[in-house]
Amino acid sequence: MLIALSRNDNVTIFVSTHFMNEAARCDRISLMHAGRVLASDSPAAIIEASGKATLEEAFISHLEAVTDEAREAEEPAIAENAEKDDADGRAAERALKHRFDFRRMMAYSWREALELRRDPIRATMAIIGSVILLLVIGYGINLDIENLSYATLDRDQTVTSRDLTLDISGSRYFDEKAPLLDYADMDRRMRDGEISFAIEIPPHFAADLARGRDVEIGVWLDGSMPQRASSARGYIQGVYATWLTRKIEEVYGAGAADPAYSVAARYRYNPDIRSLVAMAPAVIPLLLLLIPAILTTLSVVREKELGSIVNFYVTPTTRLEFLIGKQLPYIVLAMFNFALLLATSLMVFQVPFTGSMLAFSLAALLFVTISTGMGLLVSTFTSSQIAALFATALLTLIPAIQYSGLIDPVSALQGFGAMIGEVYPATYFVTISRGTFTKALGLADLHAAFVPLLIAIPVLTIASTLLLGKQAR
Amino acid sequence: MNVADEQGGAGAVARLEGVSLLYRKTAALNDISLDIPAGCMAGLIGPDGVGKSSLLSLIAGARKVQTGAVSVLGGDISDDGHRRAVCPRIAYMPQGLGRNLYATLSVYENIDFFGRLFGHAHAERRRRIETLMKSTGLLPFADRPAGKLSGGMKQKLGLCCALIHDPDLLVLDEPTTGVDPLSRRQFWSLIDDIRASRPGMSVIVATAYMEEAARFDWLAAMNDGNVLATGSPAELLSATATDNLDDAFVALLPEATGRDRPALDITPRAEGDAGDFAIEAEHLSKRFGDFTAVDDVSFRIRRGEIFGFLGSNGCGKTTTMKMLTGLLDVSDGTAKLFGQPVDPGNLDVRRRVGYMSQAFSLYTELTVRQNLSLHARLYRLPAETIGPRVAEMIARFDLADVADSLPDALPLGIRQRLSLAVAMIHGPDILILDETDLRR
Repeated sequence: MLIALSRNDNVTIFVSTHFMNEAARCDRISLMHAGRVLASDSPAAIIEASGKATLEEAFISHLEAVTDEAREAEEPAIAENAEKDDADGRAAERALKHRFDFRRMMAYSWREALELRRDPIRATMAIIGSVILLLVIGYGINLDIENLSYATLDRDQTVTSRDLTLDISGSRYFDEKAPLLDYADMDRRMRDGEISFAIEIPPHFAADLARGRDVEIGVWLDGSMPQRASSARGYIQGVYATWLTRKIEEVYGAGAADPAYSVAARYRYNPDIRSLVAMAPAVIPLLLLLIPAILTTLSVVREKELGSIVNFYVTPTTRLEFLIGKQLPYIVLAMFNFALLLATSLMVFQVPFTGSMLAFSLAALLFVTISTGMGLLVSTFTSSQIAALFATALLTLIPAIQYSGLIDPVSALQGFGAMIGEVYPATYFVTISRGTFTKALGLADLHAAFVPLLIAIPVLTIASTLLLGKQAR
Repeated sequence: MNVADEQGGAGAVARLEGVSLLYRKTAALNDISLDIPAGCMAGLIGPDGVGKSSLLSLIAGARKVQTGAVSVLGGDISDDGHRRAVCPRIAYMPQGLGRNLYATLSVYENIDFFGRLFGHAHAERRRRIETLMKSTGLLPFADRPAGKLSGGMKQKLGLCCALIHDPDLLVLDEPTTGVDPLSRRQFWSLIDDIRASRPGMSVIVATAYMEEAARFDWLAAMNDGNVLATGSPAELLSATATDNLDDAFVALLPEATGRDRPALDITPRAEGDAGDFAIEAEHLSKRFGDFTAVDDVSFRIRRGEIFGFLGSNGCGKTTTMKMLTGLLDVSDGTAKLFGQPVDPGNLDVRRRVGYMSQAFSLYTELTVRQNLSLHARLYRLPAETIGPRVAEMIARFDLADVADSLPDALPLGIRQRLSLAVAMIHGPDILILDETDLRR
C-alpha cells in the first residue's frame, strides 16, 4: 500500500521506526543514535558496507564505534550474588513474615521525602503555598471597614449641618468624596461604585434641631455587600449619636442627654472586633486541612498515573506499611507548615495568642494526621490526579467551611448539617484553635475536643487500609 | 519447600486455566489455558495490544484475576496468603521504559529502595547494589537521576531493581522495546549471565521483536487475547513450514485477520529525477537548554522515495521530523521542503504534508466516514471535492466494509489503514509516519 503510494503517486514517505524489518523496507534509511546520524544509505548498502549479515548487526557495529560505554562492563560478576549472606538472609526472611515491618514502611517514607525534596514545584507549594493563602485571605477578606467612601447631600447648608458632615468625615472609618448634587447624582455614583453610602441632611435640619423637634438624617447604603453595609450603618449611627449628644449638651447643658443613647454593646474576647483576630484561628485549620490532604492524595495517585504503584502491588509491602510510609513525610511537612502559619499570624497579622501553645500544637499534630489520612482515603478510590484534586478539595473544604463552625457555630446547625458538623474532625480543631488563640484556654479546658480527633485517626487509617487495592483491577 | 515439589511433574512455573480478562467491555484475554515451563526462557510473542502485558501482570500478581485460575510457583496467585508468600520470589518489570522507577531518584537510590522493601540490611544492600551496578555497567552513573538515563540504561536499572532480591521467577514485559540494538544485545547477554549464575531461575518475557524471540527456549504466540500456538522456536517454524518467526507468526494467524501484509519485495525506484528533492536537511541541530537532541544532521530525500529513520526512543527521530515540518524551530542549520525553507507560518507547505503518529489522531466518537470528512474539512478541501475524495480514500484503503463503524470497534490493522487514509485525505506530497509500526 505504502509502496503504491510512493511508486504510483510519487508521494515522499518519511518513516521513523525502531524495528529493523520495518526499516529494511525503505529505499534509504538513516541510522540514528543520540541525535546523530551514524550512516545513511539503502539498507542493503549499509549491511554491505559494514560487512555484517543483517541490518541489526550492521547497526550494532555502527553503535559500537560511537559508544564508549560499549562493552567495558562485561564481567560475569553476578556469580558473587549467589553466595548469600546467611545472617542477612534470615533477617530478610523474618521481615517478610511480619505483617508490619518498620523497615519497609520507612523505605517508603525515605523515598517520598527524597522525591518531595527534588520536586521544586511540589515542595514550594507544600511549604509556602499555605502561607501565601493565609496572607491573601487575611488581607483580602478583611471584614473590618476602614476608608469607606461616601458623599453627602446637604440640603440644609447651615453651620450645624456642616458641623455634622465635618464630624463624620473626621472618622477614620470614612473617606469623604465630593458632595452630591441631587438624587440622580447619588444614584449614578453609587452604581459606579464610587461611593458606598450617602448621607442626606434634610432641609430645615438646623432649625428643627434648634427648636427641639425630632431630627432625622437619611443614610443610603449600597446593599450589595450586606455585611459591609450593616457595619457601615452601625458606625454611622454611632457617629451621629455622639454628635447629637454633644449638640444637645451644647444647647441644654451637660447631663441633659437622653440616657437611652448610652446603650452600647461590648464584645468579649476580641475587644476591637477586628476580624483578622477572628479569622486566623479559623483559617489555620482550613489550610492545614486542605493542603496536606491534597499533597498526600496526589503522592499516591501520581504513582498510579506514572505506574510505579506496581512496586507496591508486587513487593511484600503491606497496605499499612505503604499508607503510613506515605503519610509520615507529609505529617512532618504539615507541621512545618503549621509553624509557618502560626508565625505569620502572630508576627505579620499581630493576632494575639492567649491560651496554651502546647495544647494547640498537640491538636495540630493530631489534625494534620487526620487531614493527610483523609488524603490517603481519597487516593484509594481515585485514579487520576485531576479527579483526586477535585475530590479532595470538595470533601475537605465544603464540610469544613459549612459545618465546622467557621461561619456559623455548629450548635446553630440543624439536621444533616449538624450531624456532619458533629462528626467532622475540623469542628473540634476549630474549637481548640479558637479556644487557645482568643479564649486563653489550655489542655485541661479543651480535653473533650481532643477525643474526637484521637478517634478519627485510626478510623481513617482502617478505612484506607480496607479500601486500598493491593492489585490492579 | 523444594523447587521440584512445587512445580509438580509438569515443571510449569505458571499455569493458567480458562483465564479471561475484561477492561470495561473490551476483552484483553479470552479463555486462555497455558502451562509456562519452569527453569527456562519463556517468551510471549505478538504485536502490541494482543494481551501479553495483561497476562504477565496476572502472573506477577499485579492484577486481579477475574475469571479462571492462575497458579504461580505452586499456588493460587489470587490467594492473598500465597501471594504474600511468593512475591519475594518474583520480580516484575512492567512495560514502558523505566515505568516502575523513580525519575528524581538516582540510580543507587532506586535500587536501594527496592532493597529496603525486601528487608536487606544496609551493608548487604550496599554490597548487592555495587555488584549489580558493576555487572550492568551502571556503576559510573550511580548518582545520575533515573529520569536522565538513556532508554537502554533505564532498562538495565529496572533489571537491577528486579534482581536485588534474588528472584526465582523473573517477569519482563517488553524489556527492550524502544531500546537501541546495542543496548538490547547487552541486555540479553546480561540476562544470559544471570541465568548462568542462577540456573534454576525461570524467566518469562513478552516481546514484539521476533528476532529476539528466536533465542528463547519456549514461545507462546498470542493474538487478540488468544494463544495461537506454543512450543520451542524450532517447533513453531517446522509446524508452519517457515524459516523465520515473523513469517511463522503470520502463518499462525487465523485466515480472516492478517494476511494482507504488504509484500517485502520493493520495486526499484525509477532513478533519473535526481536533483528533485522533497526534503533537505543541512547541518540541522536542536538544543533544549544544554541538552542536544539533534546534532548536525544532514540528509536529502528525493521525491517519491521511502526514507526511514532507524533508532531507539529518544535518539532524536521525532524532533528531526518536527523541525522538518515546522512544528519546532531549528537551533542551527536549515531545513527545506520542496526547495523552500521551512516556515512555520506557511500553511501551503503544511498542506503538502500528511502526518501519522503512534497515537492515531482519530476521533473515536465519529465513524470511519465521518473521520475522513472531518479531516478533509480541517485541511480546507473545497466543499464539492470532499465527498468524492472521501469515497476515493475509502475505496483505496479498502474501508468500504467498515465505513460506518466507530474506529474503536475495529482491529488494530484496519485502524492503521484508516489513520493512513486520514493522513492522505488532502493528497499530500510528503507522508510522515512516526513510529506507526506498519509491519503487519
